[in-house]
Amino acid sequence: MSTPAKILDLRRLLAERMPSARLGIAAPAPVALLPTGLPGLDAALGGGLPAGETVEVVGEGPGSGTAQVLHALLGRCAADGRFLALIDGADSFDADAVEPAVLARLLWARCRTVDEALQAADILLRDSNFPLIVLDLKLNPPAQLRRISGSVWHRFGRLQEPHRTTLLVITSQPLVGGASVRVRCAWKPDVAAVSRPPEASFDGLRFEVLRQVSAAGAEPVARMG
Amino acid sequence: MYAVVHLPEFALQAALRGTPELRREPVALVDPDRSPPKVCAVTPAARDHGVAEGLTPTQALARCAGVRIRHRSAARESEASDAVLQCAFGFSPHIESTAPGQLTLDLRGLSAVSDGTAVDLAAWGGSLRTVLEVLDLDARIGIGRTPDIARHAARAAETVRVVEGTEAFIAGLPVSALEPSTHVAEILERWGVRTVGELQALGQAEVTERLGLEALALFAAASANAVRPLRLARPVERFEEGFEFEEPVETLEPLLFLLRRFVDALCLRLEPSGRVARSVTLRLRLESGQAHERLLHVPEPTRRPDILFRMLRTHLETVRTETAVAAVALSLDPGLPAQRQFGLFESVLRDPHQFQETLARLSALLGADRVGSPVRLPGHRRDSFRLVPPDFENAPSAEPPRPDLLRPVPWRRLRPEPGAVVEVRGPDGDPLSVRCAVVNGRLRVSVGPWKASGNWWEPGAWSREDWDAQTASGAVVRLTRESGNWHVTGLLD
Repeated sequence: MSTPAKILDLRRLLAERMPSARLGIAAPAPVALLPTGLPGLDAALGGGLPAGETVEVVGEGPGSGTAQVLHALLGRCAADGRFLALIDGADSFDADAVEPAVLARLLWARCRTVDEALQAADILLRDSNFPLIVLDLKLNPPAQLRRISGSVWHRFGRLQEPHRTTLLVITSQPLVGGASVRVRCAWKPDVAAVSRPPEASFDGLRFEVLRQVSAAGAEPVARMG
Repeated sequence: MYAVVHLPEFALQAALRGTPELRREPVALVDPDRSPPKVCAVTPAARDHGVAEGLTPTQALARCAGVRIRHRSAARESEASDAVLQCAFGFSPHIESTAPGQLTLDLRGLSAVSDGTAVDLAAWGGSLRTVLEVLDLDARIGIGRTPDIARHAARAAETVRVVEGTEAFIAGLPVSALEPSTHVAEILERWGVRTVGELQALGQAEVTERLGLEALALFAAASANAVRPLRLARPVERFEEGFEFEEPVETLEPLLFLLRRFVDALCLRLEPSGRVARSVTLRLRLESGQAHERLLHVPEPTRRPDILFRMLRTHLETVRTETAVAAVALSLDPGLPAQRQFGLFESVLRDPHQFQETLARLSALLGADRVGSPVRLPGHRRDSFRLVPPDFENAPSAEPPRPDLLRPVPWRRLRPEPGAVVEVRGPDGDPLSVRCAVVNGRLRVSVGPWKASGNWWEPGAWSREDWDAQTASGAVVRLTRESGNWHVTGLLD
């Protein structure tokens, strides 16, 4: 066997064992997409969140719109008859803004620290029942976030593979090393936004794709939405 | 054909369930209801050491220092009887509970054994015996043409005995198998009559003339054709197993080992009735006398031992007791399997059992009050809710939001609400600046107050003012004044 053939075989073997690893080999099947309920974000992502991947939404500073993303996603999941697990790293979810029928499709894990949130994520990612898990670390102190080991995300990626679970991580700074998609979310709300319906806020959200590893293993792309 | 399940030394077997290894050890069973308490059954090893029925525990210990004393328990015997009856029900619907530790099964009409050869019948009896072994019960199975012959066969069997030549089998039985009175047994002994065949050879009329009516009963018991109707019994729907530790246990392993046996046995008992477990009740009695009881609902009723055991293990991993565990009991609530039609586009849990386990693990990590689906509490106080265990299977359909209804914009809540120093214009004027751990600076805009109050008719009365404000840096915050104190309660994000 020639050396290039051996390398191709090795790549193929690695692709079978580690589907999330991109080695220049085309994925065997197109990736399913989960709509987010935000037309802007869906457009930026090419249709929705890629199933079975890790997506990072970065919202820098206050008023970045990440809470709006979370609530829109929850509403869309409930409307589709699905359910969502939310690991709330700083216990900041606003239950008052959600309809009771939507709340009934939410599993809310109220954490106090990053460590608790990561442990809760570890538990939930082993469960095959949740196609989508949101890990919200937006309000956790940056000092705690910086202490997260890179191996954590690698382990999460391995846990996602068997059940094709999509993990959406909301952070205040780029954090997730192995994220397939990283999107920056920006919003400039004013006081008047409080009295407007939530859908009006969705229109004001701006998304910028900072990193997107396509299914075929192409180079990362940057796109505005 | 009839089969008899005979459990020799039933009281001893019932007492040693859960610890079958003790059957090979010297063990004496003491009846505490007798005065003075006396040994009522012993294991073969104890008998080899000279321990016998009728001795007091002290005498038994004097003869064998290593003999273990166990107390006879009516509850344990009742549990064992229930278990045997429930398992036997899976082999024949016509069962008589003839005596403690003895069941008679009518095999007529059973497809498994009708017109079966002796080999088929022996295999059938072997499978029944194997099932009872899972319950830590050593049974002898006898199969014969009549209930009495089956009983004799069971008593004479090592494991399973199928009687083919009935007359020859009866003739070869010792006279004691007919259970004559002591007086008659002595007479027959003096006559030199040792087997039933020798008794029958004397003639029924002649023996009755000399021994009276009891001889008639002996000949009836030795009959090869006398079939009596069975007093049919139905298995009780009580599925419980328990064990009292000789030495209280402090670690999880021995408890799990025992619970695995319990779960296996209980699921086996459930099977013949076609029932499944709807809930599992675990009871622990601690050395201090306190009790720990937990009812675990089975999300998808089942009788799969692996699933039930996993639930128990997950729960026990979160349990910490102050003292060691002295006794454990496990009971299942039986029910019919759930019948459900899945919708074509309906999303339901793929694995409800795994989901329940995940909830238990999250509750152990975060606390039961911090995991679940939020349900708003009555009233209009903001951020007032409680978490309930999710019920995704029965969650109502979420309708698209109605544009004509005013809905609040989502905030990021700050819990606990950080206290703030707010500079206001005048005693009740607008906030001008805020200083707290989350946000600082002068306020560019402030809108409010939005006043709310409630529960004024009871001790938990509340009254608060909310202000929506934007700082010079652009952050939109919600400031709340309650009882004169300011807090930052939300960030618009």
